[in-house]
Amino acid sequence: MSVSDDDIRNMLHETFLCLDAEDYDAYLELCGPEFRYRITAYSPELRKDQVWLDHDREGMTELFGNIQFHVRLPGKFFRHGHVYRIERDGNGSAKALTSMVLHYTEPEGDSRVFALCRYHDDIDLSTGTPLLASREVRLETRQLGTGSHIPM
Amino acid sequence: MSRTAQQWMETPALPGSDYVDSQIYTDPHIFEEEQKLLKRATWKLACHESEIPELYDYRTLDHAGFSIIVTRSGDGNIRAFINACSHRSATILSEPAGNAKQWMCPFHNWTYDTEGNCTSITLPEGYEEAGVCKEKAGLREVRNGMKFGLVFINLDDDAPSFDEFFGDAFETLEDVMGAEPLEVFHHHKAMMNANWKTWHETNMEFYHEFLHYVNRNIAMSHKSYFERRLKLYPYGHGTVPPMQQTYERAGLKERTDKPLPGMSPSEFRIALLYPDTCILVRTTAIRIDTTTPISPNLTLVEQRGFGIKGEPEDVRNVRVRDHNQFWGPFGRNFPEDGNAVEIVEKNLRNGAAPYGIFARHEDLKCMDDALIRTFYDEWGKYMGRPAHNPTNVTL
Repeated sequence: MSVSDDDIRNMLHETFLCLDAEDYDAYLELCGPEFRYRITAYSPELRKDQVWLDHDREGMTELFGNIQFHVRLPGKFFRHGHVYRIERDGNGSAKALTSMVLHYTEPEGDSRVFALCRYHDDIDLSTGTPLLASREVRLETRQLGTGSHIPM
Repeated sequence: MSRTAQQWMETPALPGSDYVDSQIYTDPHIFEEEQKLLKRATWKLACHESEIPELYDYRTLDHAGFSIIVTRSGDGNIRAFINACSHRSATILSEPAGNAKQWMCPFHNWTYDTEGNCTSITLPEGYEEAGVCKEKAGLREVRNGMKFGLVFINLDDDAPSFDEFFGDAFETLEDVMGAEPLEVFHHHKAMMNANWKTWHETNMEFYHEFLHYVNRNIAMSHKSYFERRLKLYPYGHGTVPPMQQTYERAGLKERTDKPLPGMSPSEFRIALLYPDTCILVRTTAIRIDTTTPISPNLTLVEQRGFGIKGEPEDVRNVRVRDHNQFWGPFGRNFPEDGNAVEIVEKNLRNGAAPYGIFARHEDLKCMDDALIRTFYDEWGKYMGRPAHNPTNVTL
């Protein structure tokens, strides 16, 4: 069964919606068994790339499970993503590039931009259902205030 | 029993050293005086030498209202200067880091070398009558001192020397940070809606660690956590004895792999450097934070993570992973501390709470507020006013 670009795009949009809803189980269902998640940023101070988070599926499961125990930002995140590009490699996988704006809304209703970034995704198409094999969140915004327990 | 407005505003029935007036966090005049009297007179962490590894590398930073350049000059020595042209005070270097043998002011093209000499003045003949020449137009050099490769600066030429100021304050870290050259692998900045002292208080008082889910489990579940005794040093520095933690109690992997020199598995150490720097070591990784006050209620927090210079990639990856687990913008603890200082500022901003209480006395056991009392004792010396009564100056 072939996987269309729309199928891929829909899966990616679902990952945005799952994180917005803080439905981490549903998010992980969209990820493959070897899922790897990274947040990276370039530091002009160090003149080097940095890794700010790097987890496999087990690590993400643990991270998601612990969010409930933390004193965390009380508001909600909304992701506004646009999938710029989907490229297939012909071997049952694809790469997708998404531009993402993450908004944060305080409980009182005041919203602000939290971060700008791009998602560099690898997608496994081999089962006939697109699965997120890896996601690198490449941050443009590096000052993130108090930070967040919730991945981007 | 709740209190009336009058009761709420009453001076606490405590010794002056046991509380502070909230105006020290909010008053713009006090903030300006802190910049001049305290920040410019104390030693400030500027960067690590690994951030300027090559000749002519430089870093810029803001400190106490000034832009500063730290460079590895052509002769190999580390120097610091105020980042202001001798001509009209324009900022010379605007990038946070770079490499250049000559620095040219973008306003009128006066140039300087990395030893602070003015090397050329545009159309110099026009200054001959007035006697202005490049030989008299060098940059303003700033004192610097170094420990473990950490570069500190001091804007006050008459302040105590680096060695006198810090004394033995680094002693708990000698075998860890002094064994091999270090390298910064993590740097991030975070603007907090908070006074700079409130942030540093989260480093100095351990009472707040009930806030941290992970710390409650891995550290505070040990009796030895509470038995550790604070060690206070001259000039307001402090350390806490090392302790073993149990990461598995928070569902985390024990830190037995790739410990830093001198560190045993799952060991934790901390050193507080007056007035605004904290060094934390968790077995495999080092975090150092420092702050730049922007205004009374706005602070730039700067965090660095360290590994051993030249270590294999697999070892470095462990350090980065372990660093990020607690620290950095997506760590377990950093967002909790950030949230705590911001909810304090929210009430201090408009005077909702007149005093802060630091009255825990436990014979220097770790829940004692002694580090903060020492901090504010030093603060009073620099500021010429006590923190508990900063507007009615009677020391």
